[in-house]
Amino acid sequence: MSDFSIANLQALDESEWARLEEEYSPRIFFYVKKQVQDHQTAEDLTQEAFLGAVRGIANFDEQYTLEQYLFGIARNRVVDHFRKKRPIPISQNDDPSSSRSYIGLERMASDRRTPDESAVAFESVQNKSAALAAILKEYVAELWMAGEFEKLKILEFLFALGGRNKEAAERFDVRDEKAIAGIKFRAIERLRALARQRDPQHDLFEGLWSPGAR
Amino acid sequence: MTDDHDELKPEDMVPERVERFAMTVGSVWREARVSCPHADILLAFQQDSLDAGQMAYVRFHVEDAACPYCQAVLEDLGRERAPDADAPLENFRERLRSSTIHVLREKRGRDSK
Repeated sequence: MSDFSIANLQALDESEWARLEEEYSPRIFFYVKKQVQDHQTAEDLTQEAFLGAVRGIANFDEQYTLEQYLFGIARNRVVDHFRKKRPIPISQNDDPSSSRSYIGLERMASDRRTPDESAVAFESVQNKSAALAAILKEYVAELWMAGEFEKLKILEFLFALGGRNKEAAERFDVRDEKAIAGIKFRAIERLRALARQRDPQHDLFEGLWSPGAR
Repeated sequence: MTDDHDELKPEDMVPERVERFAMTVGSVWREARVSCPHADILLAFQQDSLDAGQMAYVRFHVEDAACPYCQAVLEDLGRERAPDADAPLENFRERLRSSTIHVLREKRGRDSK
């Protein structure tokens, strides 16, 4: 994958933007089309995503990759598209299991903050999200290196897909719900330990345990 | 691999807070693409050259979890290997190029004032 110069992109250099589009426009298009299905709509939203990327590049946050930046904008355009089509922002799906996929969840209301929330609170949430993302990636890398792919699948099902313990026990042929709860608990403990290694003063897990628990 | 300083038990956890925390973790997991394999691994998956555990995980992530990012990468990788793959996208890429150039020039003009 090519390297791109953020400075050149921010300087609105046409050839750098042309290279970026060359690399990412097919991927962004396919990502959008997976969700909206219609080819023309996918083209339009992809175009809007790149135009949004140009307009927002001055504020690019280097804690994210360009790929995350572009996919993030594309995702927001897709969410806005579904919001316009369907006034109720949150999918009131009677069958929760039908949303057990990234695509099902992507179509739900965006968790973007409302305009009147304070900039300070927003930055705090952003910092916490970035910290949590970092330790999650570290934990996933540990599981990958250890070959613990079954555990990774279960945790992805529980966390990323919002799956219930009972569903997970059935789906992954695990003894019972308690065993799944144990996997979840040990994962949270490990994440907590990783957070402490990075910042002993962190409060990412504040309140999860009842007061007085050791 | 647990923290040596505490001996916290599952029964000490506050269920509602764990539920909310799990939702936050889920949101961050999806947005930050925490478990999305690198494109090189997706290419190896496409070529059926990963080991069994890795294949099973990537298949779960792409097919069961239906990660749209990884599905898009796989489709792009497949497109690169197919003849005449670019034909359907060529007109669109021209249009995209033109609109981006237009906005870049417009923005440069505004920013220089």
